Amino acid sequence: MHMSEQVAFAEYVALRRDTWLRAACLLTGDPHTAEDLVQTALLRVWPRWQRISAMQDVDAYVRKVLMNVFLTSLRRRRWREISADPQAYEPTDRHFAATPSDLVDERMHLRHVLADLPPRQRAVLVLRYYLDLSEADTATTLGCSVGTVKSQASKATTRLRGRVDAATSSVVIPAESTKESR
Amino acid sequence: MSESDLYDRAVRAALHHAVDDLHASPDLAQRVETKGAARRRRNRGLGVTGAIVLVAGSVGGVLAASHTPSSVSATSVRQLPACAANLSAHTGTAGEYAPEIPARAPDVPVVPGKPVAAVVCRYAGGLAGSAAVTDQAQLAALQSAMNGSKGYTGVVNCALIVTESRVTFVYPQGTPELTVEFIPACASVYTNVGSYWASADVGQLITGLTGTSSPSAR
Repeated sequence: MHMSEQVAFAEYVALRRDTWLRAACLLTGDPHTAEDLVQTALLRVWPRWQRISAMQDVDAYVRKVLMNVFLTSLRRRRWREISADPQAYEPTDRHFAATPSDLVDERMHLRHVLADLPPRQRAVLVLRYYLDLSEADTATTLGCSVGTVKSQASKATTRLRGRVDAATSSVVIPAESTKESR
Repeated sequence: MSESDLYDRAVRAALHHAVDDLHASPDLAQRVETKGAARRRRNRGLGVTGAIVLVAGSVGGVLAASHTPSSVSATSVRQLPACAANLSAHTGTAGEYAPEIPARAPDVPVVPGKPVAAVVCRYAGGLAGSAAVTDQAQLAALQSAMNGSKGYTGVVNCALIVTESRVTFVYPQGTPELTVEFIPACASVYTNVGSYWASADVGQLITGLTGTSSPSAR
């Protein structure tokens, strides 16, 4: 790899590393595993950076690699996230996160709630709601149909209902009618 | 704002909130470059450890197929094969890919002799693109790109196979077809003779021929 390409790669990583790490953390539920995931994905990208950097949408490529590494790793290595008992992470009062420790608890809770979802539902959630992809782009990234994305998103959000609440968003989540109105 | 919108907004906010305190290591790019270089050296030299991902399946023929390349034109030599709808549909009629690791790197070109045509089939899940190459200039460019690849022995540790392409070179009557497999994730091409590091032109040419902007990302 030429020096200029190395510089470009480093710049790209510096610009996007937090985004990928955060997305990976939502997928894996753990920051350390997330960093490993991002590093593995970038290791796939790095040798072909010359070609990838010429693409119109580099993020789309990296995103796809990240998702593939995540899903194939689960499949091949049978990675198992520690599936926490949700009850253990139910704060007593989550409507106010007044102190730093409350904030930490709240984040831990959210990550563990996500970790309880099946991997593909997590992937759909991250792509649709964290990375703000359209249903079509999500489908392309995951190599599935738009219908599958819709159903996976619906299942995931239904499972999240009631567990992600106004404490984090200032928005009251409707308890029953979400699915019908989507 | 509808309930659905409210809920979407809540989910988005929650996801962002769950991870907004995280920051990646500043030396991430450096670590990737260091590890990537070491891995590449290791794979080139010995190519042993790690997961062995060889494309086992049969490589062969694109004959059994359900999808005909859109640009196939008649050739006076022999009928061009068509692309299979998916990789599992390959029946392996033209030169089986041998999964055994050869003792030595192949010292013959990827595409020997003078093929008269080629059929390019690109897969990403199913068949994602195809093209028939009967134009002699294009064919020569494709052969040249293939032959710019350098043989190696051992295996490549590339667990991620998102796409792969199969190029069937058609020879005059009496000479069997040759199937070349290209896996972008492994930066490699494979024939029934052995494995090669794909030259950079291989991917670009296949991309151009099958009409997609970023095949390896699919």
